[in-house]
Amino acid sequence: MRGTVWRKNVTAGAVALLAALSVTACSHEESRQQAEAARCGAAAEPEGESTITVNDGSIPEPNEDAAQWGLADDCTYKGPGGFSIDLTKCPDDWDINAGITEEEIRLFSSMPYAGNLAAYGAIGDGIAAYFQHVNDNGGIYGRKIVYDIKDDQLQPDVTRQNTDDAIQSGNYAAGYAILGSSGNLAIQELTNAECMPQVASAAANDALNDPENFPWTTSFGLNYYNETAIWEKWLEENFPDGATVAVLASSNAQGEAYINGFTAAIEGTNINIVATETNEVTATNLDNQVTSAAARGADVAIIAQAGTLCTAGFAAIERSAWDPTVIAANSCAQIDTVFAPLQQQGLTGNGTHVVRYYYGPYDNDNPHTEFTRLYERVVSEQGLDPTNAQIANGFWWGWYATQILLDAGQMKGGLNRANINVAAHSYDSHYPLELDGVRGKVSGVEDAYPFESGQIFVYENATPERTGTFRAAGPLIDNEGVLKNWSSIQASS
Amino acid sequence: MARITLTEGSRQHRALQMGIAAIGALVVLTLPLLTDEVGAIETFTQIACYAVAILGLGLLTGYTGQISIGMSAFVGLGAYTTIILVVDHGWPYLATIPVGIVLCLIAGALVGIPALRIRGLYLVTVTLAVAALFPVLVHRFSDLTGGTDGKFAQDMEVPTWTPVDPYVRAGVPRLHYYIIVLIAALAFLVAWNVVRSRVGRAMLAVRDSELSASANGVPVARVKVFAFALSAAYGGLAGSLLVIQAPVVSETRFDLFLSVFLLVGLIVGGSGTIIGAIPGAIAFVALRTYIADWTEALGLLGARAESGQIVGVISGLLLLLFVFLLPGGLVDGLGTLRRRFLVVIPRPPAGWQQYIPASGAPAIAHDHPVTERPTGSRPPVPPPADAPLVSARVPGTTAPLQRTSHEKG
Repeated sequence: MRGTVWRKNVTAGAVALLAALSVTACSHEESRQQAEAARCGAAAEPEGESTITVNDGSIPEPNEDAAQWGLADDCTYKGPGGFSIDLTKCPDDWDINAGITEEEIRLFSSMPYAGNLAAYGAIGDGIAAYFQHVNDNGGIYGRKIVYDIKDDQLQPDVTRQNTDDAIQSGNYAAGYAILGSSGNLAIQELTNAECMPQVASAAANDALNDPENFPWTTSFGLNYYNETAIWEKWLEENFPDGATVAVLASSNAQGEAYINGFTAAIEGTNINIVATETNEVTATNLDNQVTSAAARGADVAIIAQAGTLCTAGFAAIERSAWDPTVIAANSCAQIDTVFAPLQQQGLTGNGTHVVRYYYGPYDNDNPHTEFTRLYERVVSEQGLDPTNAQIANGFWWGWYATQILLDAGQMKGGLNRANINVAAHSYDSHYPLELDGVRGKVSGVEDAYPFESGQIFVYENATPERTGTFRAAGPLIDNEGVLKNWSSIQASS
Repeated sequence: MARITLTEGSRQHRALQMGIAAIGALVVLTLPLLTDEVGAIETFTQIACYAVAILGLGLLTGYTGQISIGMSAFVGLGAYTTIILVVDHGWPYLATIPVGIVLCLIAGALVGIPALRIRGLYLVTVTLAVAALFPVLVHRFSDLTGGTDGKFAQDMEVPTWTPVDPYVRAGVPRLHYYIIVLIAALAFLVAWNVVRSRVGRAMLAVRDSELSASANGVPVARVKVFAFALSAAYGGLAGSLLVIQAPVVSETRFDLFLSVFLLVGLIVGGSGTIIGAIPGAIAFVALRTYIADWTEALGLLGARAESGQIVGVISGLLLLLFVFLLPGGLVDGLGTLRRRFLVVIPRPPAGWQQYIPASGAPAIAHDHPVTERPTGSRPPVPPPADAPLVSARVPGTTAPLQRTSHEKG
């Protein structure tokens, strides 16, 4: 009898314990679901029509295909090109709607506004000016874009600190156009661990387009590998019997990237590098390098430089007896700052080839004068100088941010941070000042590089008294999707 | 206002010193616990790191009189040593610090050799060349340094057994703060002892007059090279600590601007003091971290590009202001302010009575020499810290009181 009572008590105790555990587990399950809902944004619906009130082509339309992508199941968001992000890997306190309210979308950036490279900070002013244009004309589904920039003097530790601050504040949906390769590489681990979209980094480093390993990071612009691939294709067409090439590059990361990119591009072709001459970025002339390269008598001279060193390279070649076909980096394609100073030396720079993929607003061959007038008005209203090339670049960056935000609103799960990241890996857009046929297009892991097409132009008609013009020296060369992503480049090299 | 007078070494004076030290220690220990903001904690840590660099510069410039604007190169050398050993060779962070220090000691001594023959502007030019050369070397050896793209490592692992929870967001930065502050405190202690040692006095003698120092048997050449090497070692240590704080380096982090701003920090804090490195570092980090944003927030200068450059403008103005109005820096200014309320009478050196002529006035007890000064008379104002030999007449005596030690209090 006593044994039966004992057993009954044990059984009752066990049942009570199980019941208590079940209740606790249920309450834990409930809070888990709540936390997961905060992370995954299951309840949100896609936005309706775009609220943009102008249809003059100055603001992009949402991409119709975007409706296919976004929230897939539970906590997974998917995009084209095999792109997928699992939000369960995000921190426990991650909020899918941080920085996004009914009134505004907050983005942050970190740029140099002091120090040697402060001039590049004007990109941020250009972006903010474009956002003002969007905000004045309906905004992103009725929301204003707020763009907060902190100064980092291009010092990567400060970039990291600024990013830490932005993440921890919980006030930002994404980082946009953070400037500089070192700063972006310094925060890549952090932004990916914290699931903070690091969108359209203003850095040409090829390693920033690595969605397999860093799915929350994207870069922007024509990168070195793609530019050198365009050079190679043009050389193949114009030198069908092969060509010898001398490369004159700065001994910095940019020069190195050009050399590596071009070396990879000409592999298996009958184009050969016969001389590689490097110089310090502080060099005042390239006379010695050109003399050494000229001694090899190469058919083609590649000037992988920037700024005044482009001018120095052109001058040294023009003064020498060597008469190669000159191809210069895209950063040399500035008439006012690179070619015009040649006139003071009685030179012209005629015959130099460059890759271009968009027009400067004031380029004399820019056919889109209506957009230039709009750009000039918007930028001037903000008290900025429209002739500043970095402000013009910022306007272009602003267009793609707008495209990404509009696309994200159309995706399953609605306008949230995960979809902003998916949209940053799935846009397909054409900015009015881009050359005809050029599109900024990415497709997840399959195509991480936004710009892979460009056209070789030749500079001509300059005299020592008058600057010249660019003339197309061949059709648009389109390498769309060829390079895939950084992991595939590394695997193939 | 009534002034309080304390005698150096008295019980009250010691209690005051202990009280100030306790409050200082309490502030340093609780600072990172007062906020959960990672950015703010990182700012506190940066202050500790840059204080070590400014201290090193102070030992060379403030104590030995050798002006240098090459400090950024040594900070960079220490930082790159740490990150290269950590990333490429798998060393633990703390083990890299001695290597960085030794490398910088050697490099500093090498840079110090030209200082034996040149001085003033010419010496500044040599150190300027060192600062300008460093980023070029970073480019030149980009395989090792990462070049323009920089070099990155995982954060230093932190112990899990301390009372600080490393698993909250601010946990790791907090632990980094405590580790760095501990090392920085040791560095301050070493500097404190060096300047009070025989070598320290030799450094002061060289600063004040090389000729007199030499005439008194100070080996000027060795002292100068020692000061350069020691200063560089402090720079290297600061570099290693900066990498522990944020394991990212690029040449832009250690350019000429850093040297100039460190010099501004030194002047602002007080070049001839050990403790001045702390307010100097606070000024430096505040300028670097907040001024541009404050300027923008206040709308002082329209477009952002100009608001960023305000950091340089304000640094220049600060330098001018301090040089003209407060050449001894904040520490000296605070000392002057303190003397309006509290006067510490220095204790005469032991055995000072033996220097009184045999026919002189009767000796007075050394522990209360001037406490009974006539009311209304001006108390003897202690000479500025680190002043060379000065004379003060003790009331009631005719003998000068020789003072060679630093003012206390």
